[in-house]
Amino acid sequence: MKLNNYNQRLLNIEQRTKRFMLGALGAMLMVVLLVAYKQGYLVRSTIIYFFAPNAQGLNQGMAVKFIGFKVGSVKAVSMEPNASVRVKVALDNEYVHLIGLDAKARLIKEALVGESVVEIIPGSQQVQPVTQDSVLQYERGQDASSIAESMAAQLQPILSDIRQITSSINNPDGDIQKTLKNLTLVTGELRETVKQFTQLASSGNQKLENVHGKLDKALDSVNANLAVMDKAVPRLVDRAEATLDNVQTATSDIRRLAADSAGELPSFIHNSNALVQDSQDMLEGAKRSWPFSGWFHKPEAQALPVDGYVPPGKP
Amino acid sequence: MRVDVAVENIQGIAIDMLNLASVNQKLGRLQEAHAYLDALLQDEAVQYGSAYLAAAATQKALLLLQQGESSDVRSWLDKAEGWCVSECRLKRAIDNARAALALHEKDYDGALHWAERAASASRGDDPLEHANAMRYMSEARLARSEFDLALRLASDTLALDKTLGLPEKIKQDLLLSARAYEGQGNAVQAKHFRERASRIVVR
Repeated sequence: MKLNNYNQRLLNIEQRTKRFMLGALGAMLMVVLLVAYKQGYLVRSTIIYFFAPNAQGLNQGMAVKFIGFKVGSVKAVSMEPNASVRVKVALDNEYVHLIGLDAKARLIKEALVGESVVEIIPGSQQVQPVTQDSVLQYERGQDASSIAESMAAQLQPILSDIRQITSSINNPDGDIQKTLKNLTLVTGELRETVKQFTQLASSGNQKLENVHGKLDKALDSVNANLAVMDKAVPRLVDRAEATLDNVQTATSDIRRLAADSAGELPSFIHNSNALVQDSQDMLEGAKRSWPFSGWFHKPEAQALPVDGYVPPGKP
Repeated sequence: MRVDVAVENIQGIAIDMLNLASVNQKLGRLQEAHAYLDALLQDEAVQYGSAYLAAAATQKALLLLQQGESSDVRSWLDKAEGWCVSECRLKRAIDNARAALALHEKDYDGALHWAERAASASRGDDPLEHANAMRYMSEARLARSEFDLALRLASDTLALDKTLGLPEKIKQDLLLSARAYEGQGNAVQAKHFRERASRIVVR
């Protein structure tokens, strides 16, 4: 009875062990498959090459990207007999048709801090795509150190100029220091000018007050004179009336003189007419004489119109 | 005129003599007027322009009519018409003179003929001769006892003469109107028009 139980127990252990082993084997198989998948062994790929002058930054397994997408990986980096570096790249067959034979491989850093990748620079679309064992041209992209060196080279003259400016500012005999000294002097003089203006304004106010006082006195004087005039004007009016009387008298004298000379006026007018007639004759004679004769337009003589009218009664 | 004679300005002499004849005629010195016109028309030494001769002949005819001597009037008017060539404005005066001659001869149809011819030629162009023509027409109508027409013509003539400012003719027009009113039997209006005519002083 005991033997049967023991055998039964052993049989159970054996079965469990088999199950464990099978599970472990399955797990190992899965790991292997996973690793193979990760390594790309399960993906059909095309092997291409490019040659670099050195292997700096190039590592096995680094990603190969095309327009930002991973299209393959570096399979091997090896040194050639001529001291160049041969890089073996496996490209997924899915993307091979996108990469032409004139494409270029470039080693770049995706960020200032980060892993380097091999970037495939696409070439012309018209050429044939890469095939197994094709060789691409290689160019090294600018990494962080080379960028830093370039920036340092460009910043160097700027830093030099800043250093010179700083030293010029600090130099007591430099232009900037002299300008600052002059500004300080001008500021002091301005302050003095403002002070003088203030004094002048104060003095002006005082003088204006004096003028105002004098004006008051002058107006008082004018008022006094007006009062005097008020008294004098009536007397002047009286005198003006007397003057008008005199004018009226003179006018009556003139009228009387005109009346007295009225008898002589006709002869005077007659003589004037004779004088005018003589003048007209002289002018007429002058108009007919040289050189005046050419100055005046001689009117055309015209016959009077014949009037076909016969006075009444006789016809 | 003495100046023109001194320098023998023939055109000037003709104009001077025509103007002196007109002035003497207006002043009633008809013999002096005849003398100046004869001097122009009978001058054999100097040939004056035909226009001046036509004017002198017309004026001579009118002068004779004014004196009531109608025997030579037609011949002078014929001479005037012969001298009056190419754009001669004198033809209206000649026609009016013929109308006056016809009236003098009591040929009222003839007077109307010549006066109407003168009136149509001078209408809108020569108000002086147009008024003369209408006045002769009015007289002819009056003589034919066509008082309405005569009155209408006299009224039109009166208006025209007033615009020309001719007192003697205005007086004549008023008297014509008065005669027309008399012919119509309107003695009151005839009297008024005679009164109006008498107030006009002709110098």
